[in-house]
Amino acid sequence: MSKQEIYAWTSLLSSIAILGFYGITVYGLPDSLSGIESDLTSLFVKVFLFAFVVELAIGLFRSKDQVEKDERDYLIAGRGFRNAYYFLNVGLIVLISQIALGQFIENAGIAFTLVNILHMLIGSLLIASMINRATQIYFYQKM
Amino acid sequence: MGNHNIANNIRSLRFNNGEMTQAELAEKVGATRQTINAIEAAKYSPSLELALKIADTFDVDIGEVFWLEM
Repeated sequence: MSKQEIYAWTSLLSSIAILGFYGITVYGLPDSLSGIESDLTSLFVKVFLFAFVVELAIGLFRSKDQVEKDERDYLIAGRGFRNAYYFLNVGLIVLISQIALGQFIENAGIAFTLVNILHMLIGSLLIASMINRATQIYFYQKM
Repeated sequence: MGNHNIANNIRSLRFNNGEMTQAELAEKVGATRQTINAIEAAKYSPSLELALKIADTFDVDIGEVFWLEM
């Protein structure tokens, strides 16, 4: 497994952990699952720290002679960014539509509040990051 | 792009050149060992620049390293 592939895995884990932690902090869990909320939060923090430590270790123990990144890595990174860009486009169109609808619909409810739209934007960015890294992992396995 | 696979004989060229390892070849051509491994397994088609560098490392024509498999 190349360093770039390990970075893709750790970044995917970090994004999942941040999204999970953010989701629980902002929205919480359903009442039926409230008993495991603190355990789940602790798990997300541990996953994030694990990914951080792995990235730090790779950065510290890298060999100066070895090539870090080459044309295949750039090609795979490009495919990851392309898929993330497609997702962000869709996410932004949905958000802009919500804002536009909010202007016309009175009593729009929680879905159209500015804070909720901000949460959705942050969520979209984190999911786009996950799509980027998951695409990279897929292509690292494929080619 | 094309429907043809790009085949190669990098493995035999490596062994005929003092049993050169993938890591050694990667270092010579400025690529990662994983990329050389992917090229050898015909999973990844290298750029023309990298293909020429590989051929140059073995001191052979590019056609002796890579060819289209019909």
